[in-house]
Amino acid sequence: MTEDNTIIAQCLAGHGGRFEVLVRRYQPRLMALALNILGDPDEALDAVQEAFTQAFTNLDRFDINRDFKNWLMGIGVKRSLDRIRKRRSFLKFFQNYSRETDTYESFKNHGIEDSVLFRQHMKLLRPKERTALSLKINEGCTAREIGEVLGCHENTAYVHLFNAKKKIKKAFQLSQAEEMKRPSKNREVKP
Amino acid sequence: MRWTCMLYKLLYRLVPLRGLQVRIIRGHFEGCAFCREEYAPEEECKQALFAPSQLEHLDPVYPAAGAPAGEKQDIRVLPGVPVVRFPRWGLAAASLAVAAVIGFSLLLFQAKDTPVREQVTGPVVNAPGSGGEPRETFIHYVKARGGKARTYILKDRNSPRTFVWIEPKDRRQT
Repeated sequence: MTEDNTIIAQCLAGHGGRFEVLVRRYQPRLMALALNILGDPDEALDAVQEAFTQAFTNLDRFDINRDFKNWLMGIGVKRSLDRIRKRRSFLKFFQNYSRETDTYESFKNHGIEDSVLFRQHMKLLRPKERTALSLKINEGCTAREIGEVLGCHENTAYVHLFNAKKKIKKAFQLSQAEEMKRPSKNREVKP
Repeated sequence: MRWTCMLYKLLYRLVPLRGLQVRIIRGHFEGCAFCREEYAPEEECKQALFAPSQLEHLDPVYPAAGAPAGEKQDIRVLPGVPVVRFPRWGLAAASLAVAAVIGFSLLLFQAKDTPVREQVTGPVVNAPGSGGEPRETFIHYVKARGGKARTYILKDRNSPRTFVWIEPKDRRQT
């Protein structure tokens, strides 16, 4: 039995406070996944909180023979993709115009440094492509595991990954072009 | 770029079969030096994403997510609230059904005959030879089954009876 499953067994035995160990252990990974999908730290934190709450309330349904990390990541992905679906409602349409400024403030408030490349990545990649790429790069998941999380076939997950890598290459080119447009701070002033 | 690369790219885009696309990726794109330049290696992908190590400084969500530390809780005691999940198509079908019932009810309600009202169509006088003082009767407005109607008046010469026939203008309503 893994350490995670031991803690889960303790939680189910009545020591719910032990769940804190799992939260501290997996929060950075879940937060990275949610942030790479959603692109906004506030929304990502909400999605992470919802994912942990759902995992906690459904601990009695968790299969001890499964890997808790993958199960938790699957919940995190679903919560993040649900948030993206809710964003697409008509009422949110006008709010999206102010999204860029709000997102910048959100990064600043949480002490996270974003980059031009990350913003390009958010613009170019679709949600499932971002999910597949984050699971592959940060978690080392195979195409089959990514497919299980996304609820699709292994081949579909493989295609999502490939398309994501193509678009990241384009994001690199666009971010370099954007960096070139910025005035150089070290430019010498001629007398 | 070679013509084979262009051909594979065209095939990849035009044929949306995942199995075939995976074969093209594994069989050509990953092995071809020209095509490999068009997608980013893993090192470049890492730069575009946030890693868990960059987010370890954030406050834990634990107090809101789980039980307070040290408090004994029996998860199994809490009764599960049954969650009724409707598939999206079910909600759409239910909404359509409700809209259809309301629409049908409105149609039925409007199809009921409304009382005849008077309309000014002209004076109706007693037919000559019918006897009695001539009287004028005005019909101001006539409506039948929610729509305009034609009025036919038949005055019997030999009796004091007057027959009024009302026919909807739209024959489909008859």
